[in-house]
Amino acid sequence: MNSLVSIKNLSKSYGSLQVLENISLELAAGQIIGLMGPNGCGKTSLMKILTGMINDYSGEVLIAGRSIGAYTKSIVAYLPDKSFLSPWMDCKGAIGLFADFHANFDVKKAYDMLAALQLNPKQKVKAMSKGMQEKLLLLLVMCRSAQFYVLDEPLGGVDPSARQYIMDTILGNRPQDSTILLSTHMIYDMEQVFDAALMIGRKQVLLYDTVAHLQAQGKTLDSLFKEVFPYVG
Amino acid sequence: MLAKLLKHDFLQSGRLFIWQILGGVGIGLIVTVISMQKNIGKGLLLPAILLELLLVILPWIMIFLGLVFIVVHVQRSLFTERGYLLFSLPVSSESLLLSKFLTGAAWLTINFLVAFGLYAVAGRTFYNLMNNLSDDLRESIGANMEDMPQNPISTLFEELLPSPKSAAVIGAVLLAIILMIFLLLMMIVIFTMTVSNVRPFQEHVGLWGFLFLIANIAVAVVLTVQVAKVIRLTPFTMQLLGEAVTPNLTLGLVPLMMTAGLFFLTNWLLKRKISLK
Repeated sequence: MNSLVSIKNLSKSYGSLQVLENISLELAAGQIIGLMGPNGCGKTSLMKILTGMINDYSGEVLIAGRSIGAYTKSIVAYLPDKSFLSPWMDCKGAIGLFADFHANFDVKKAYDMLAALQLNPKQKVKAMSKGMQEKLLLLLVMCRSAQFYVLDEPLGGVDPSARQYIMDTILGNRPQDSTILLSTHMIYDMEQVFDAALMIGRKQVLLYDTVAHLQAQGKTLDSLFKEVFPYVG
Repeated sequence: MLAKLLKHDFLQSGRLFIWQILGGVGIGLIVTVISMQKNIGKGLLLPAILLELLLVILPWIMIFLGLVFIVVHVQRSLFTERGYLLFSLPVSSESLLLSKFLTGAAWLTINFLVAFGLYAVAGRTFYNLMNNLSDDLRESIGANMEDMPQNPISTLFEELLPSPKSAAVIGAVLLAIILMIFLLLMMIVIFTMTVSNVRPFQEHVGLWGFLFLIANIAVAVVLTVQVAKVIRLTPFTMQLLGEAVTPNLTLGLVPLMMTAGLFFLTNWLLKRKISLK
């Protein structure tokens, strides 16, 4: 299987605190990969490295054979776990901004999704609820026809129906050959969606395998997670 | 892509700048309208004088706020949650910073032009105000219209421009001002880079900051000496500003303190919240 992301000897630390140590990994193209691990294990750091948010790391990271930079950012769509729109910005302005910078952004689809969400294009971000803001951000990211989607906790802190909306939006809008790296703690709910599972912790990659292979061994992701990261009371 | 970044940055930072520029122009217009009234009495004189004073102080406030706005804009758009948007755009880090730099320079230039215009308005309206006072009031405050220049700015230029030496000094002052703006913006950009994810600048933050502080102080000293030279060149400026500005060192303290203040303010604002690391 072709690999989209190639990571070699990647290390990242914050001062004296090391979160990733010499990890090497190839992420296959066309898969939905679940990124799992306990809080503070480096999931978000890995995502920030892949999306070019931080580059003070050592090692080599290539996406589609290219170092992280303007090109990789043009093929990577990133949904951070924080709202990144200015409060004064309205939906129309946000869509315009994405359309301006991303050649692969589908404006018509964005307005269709906006209408489906019953959001007024003139509505400002500051006038939206947190849930609505999250949906707008997801809309902006998923209206890009990207090769690689990096989604940081898109299901965190939302109710079950919103969770369903988010998953439907992600799965219904991704190009078939695209890769999704999605971090979550909702392992039980997501097992059916993931093609592969990536577990990181203790600065290392502890598990990277296809879900089908794991299930063939009679294991569920939920039980594996508890096995890899046992609770120490 | 740089053009798109510039458009986006110019509009975004304009949200901060436009209000202070409109405010300055608005106050200038109000003072102009008041100064054109005939037979101005005691009731209108006090607010008019207060507004005149405001017109004199306002350009300095505008320039200072302009620099603060640039720092705030850079800090907010790159180092708060909003940085996720800009850093994920398919542009290089250098383009992002260049766009901030050019936008800042453009707004500061507009700010300087408006500030200079406000001084011209202040000079002209003060003359009109005194000229339009009721006769009783003018006599009671002892305003002598014969000694008063109709427009101090044009008088200053009339006295300065005929001399080639004066023109050279004015040129040097303008150059120093441009250099000072440039260095202040560079300082902001360098600090932005040191606290951002641009590798070569992540180390030696203190050294970079110190070098730029020294550079700024050097420009401030040049500016001070040149301004003092200009002031001594004409009888008009000596009469207007008198001995208060004669010693260079006294005058030099103001830009030096401003530079040092801006340095620490920039540093503090940029490091206040860095969520991308």
